[in-house]
Amino acid sequence: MGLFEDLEAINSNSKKYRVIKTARNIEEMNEAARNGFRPLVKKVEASEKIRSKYSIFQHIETGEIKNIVDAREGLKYQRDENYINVIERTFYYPYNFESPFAAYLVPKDIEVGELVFLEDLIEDLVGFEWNQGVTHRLISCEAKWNGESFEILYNPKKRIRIRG
Amino acid sequence: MKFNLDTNELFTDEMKLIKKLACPYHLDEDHFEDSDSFSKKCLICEKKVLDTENFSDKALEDLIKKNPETCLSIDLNQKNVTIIANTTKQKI
Repeated sequence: MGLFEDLEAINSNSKKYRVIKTARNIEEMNEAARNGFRPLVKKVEASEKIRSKYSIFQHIETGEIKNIVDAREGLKYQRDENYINVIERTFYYPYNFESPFAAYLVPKDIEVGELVFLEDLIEDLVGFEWNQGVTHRLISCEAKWNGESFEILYNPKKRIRIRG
Repeated sequence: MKFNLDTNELFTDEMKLIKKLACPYHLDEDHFEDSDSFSKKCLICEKKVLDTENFSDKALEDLIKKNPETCLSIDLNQKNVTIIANTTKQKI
């Protein structure tokens, strides 16, 4: 795969495909249906692969707390006699969804094989991974319409470097 | 420096915002070539991307003030950066 073909497969709409919106509640789904779209309804299911973490240290005298994400900083607080670790490293799912189901709003004129850009992914896919066990979900992605659903075009890669 | 994983914001150790990193492309190492000891060249934008590992908070702050469009690169494991995050659940 060449450089620019590779770029097309990542989660920015670099090729300016048609954007498919997502409805996160019934009202939006029904309004879209009345306006000519077909809501493709899916369960919103949290992936066990996606997680964030925290660890809470408390100052013994002042009672103030520190939320520590980075294990390297956690070591510093563990060695500091002024702090105690009141909650050990804990992983949690870092997202809250409006509804347990959502729908892609499929335009009536979509063609089989058409490449689109899913602006707000319903599927819980790992978009970013840090080697301290933290993963974030993929927000947007390109996909192909196969006549019944969208085939998501994403090849996850471990990333620990961020640029911008 | 401190880097907020949820917002992609880079701060000084005193939590003064240096820059919000916002590259529209999620590029891999293959998309960069060596430029000099402090930076790599992006093969998409052809801009230099500074490796923040070699900068102090103050030097980076001054540099971004002078040229806010400067691209920065952060390895989440580099020694001069601590990772922070929001613990409020993100609403979707």
